[in-house]
Amino acid sequence: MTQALDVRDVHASRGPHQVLRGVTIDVAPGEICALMGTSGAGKTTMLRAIAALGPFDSGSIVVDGFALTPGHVPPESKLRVLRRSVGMVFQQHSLFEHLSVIENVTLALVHALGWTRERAETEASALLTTLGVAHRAAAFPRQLSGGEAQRVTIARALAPDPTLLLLDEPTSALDPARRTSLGEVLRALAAEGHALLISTHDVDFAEAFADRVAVLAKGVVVEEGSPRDILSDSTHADVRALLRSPSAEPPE
Amino acid sequence: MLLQLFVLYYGLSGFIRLPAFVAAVLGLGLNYAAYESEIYRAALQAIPRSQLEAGRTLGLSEAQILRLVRGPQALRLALAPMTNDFVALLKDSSLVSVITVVELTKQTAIYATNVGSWVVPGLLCSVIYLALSLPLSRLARRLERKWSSI
Repeated sequence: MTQALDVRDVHASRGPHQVLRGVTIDVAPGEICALMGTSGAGKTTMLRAIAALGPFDSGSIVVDGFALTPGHVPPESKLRVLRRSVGMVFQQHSLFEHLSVIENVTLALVHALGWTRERAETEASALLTTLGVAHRAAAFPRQLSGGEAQRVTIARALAPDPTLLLLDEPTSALDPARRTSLGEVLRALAAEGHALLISTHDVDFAEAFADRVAVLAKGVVVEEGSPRDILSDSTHADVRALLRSPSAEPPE
Repeated sequence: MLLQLFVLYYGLSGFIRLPAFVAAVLGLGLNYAAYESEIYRAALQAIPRSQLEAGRTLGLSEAQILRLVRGPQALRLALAPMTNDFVALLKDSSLVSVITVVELTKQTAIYATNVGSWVVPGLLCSVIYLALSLPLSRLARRLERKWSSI
């Protein structure tokens, strides 16, 4: 079976600091994989490398058949194929402030994919409805609550129909009820065949919604398996550390 | 500003004899271009990196990100300081009389000397300055209000 994401032995450093020391991870279509770890474990660095926003030193990253090479991030003109297959939901607020919710979602459809405005708006409305924020279509980002902004960001990332969706700490700004409904949305996306890689330190969330958990510590995947096996029975010190303080930890 | 005008008009006269009007336009233009470029630079840099990266992951080209995401927001940030600068430029235009260009203030002075009184010419002069700068700041304020309401 072809993987939506195939990461092999990736090393990456930031300045003199080795952040990733040989990470291997894969995600199949229709699967939700939770990339867990404490702050500084390298979760964000890993996601940024996959999204070609940050460089990696060695190893290989193949996204939906497109291979990224180690070294400098290639220019955008060489990344067209990758951009079509990867969507990213950032941890920090990243909506375009000067555009309404619906314009945020349609922007890439119209300008990157060349759709007509009507077609883009139909698609965007459908997505906003799925995510439960259709009533906010005309609002501007600064008028949205944290949960609404998050859903709009997800709708925007999903609009070009990426094979792989990366989410960086999606639950950090959400209360428990919103977490559950976000989890349900993500499950529905996986059921449609999207592959999801979610960086999180939220143990309850991963346990409830992920198919697979990979625990990242000191730059390597120390444990990998079903959420139940990893999160309830693990004897690994790094996993135990994660379990001890699931929500007390500041976002990365 | 004054010094730059002097250099442009008198200082360069050994090498090239610029017409006074050209020297005035060059002097004011170059001086304010420097300030303006700083304003645009600061405004462009104020757009959060996360938005630019979001644009990249969505498949927009660098040019599209500048045109659709960075530019429009930077323009809003730059609007207020830009307007200030343009109004200041209007007032600074009176400085060019030092290099023999006869502009509004100089003309007023000449006229005042002829009629022997500053009251009427002075009033007229300030009315004209006001008429030139008021619409500019009004327009800017209106745009600002429109943009901040969203």
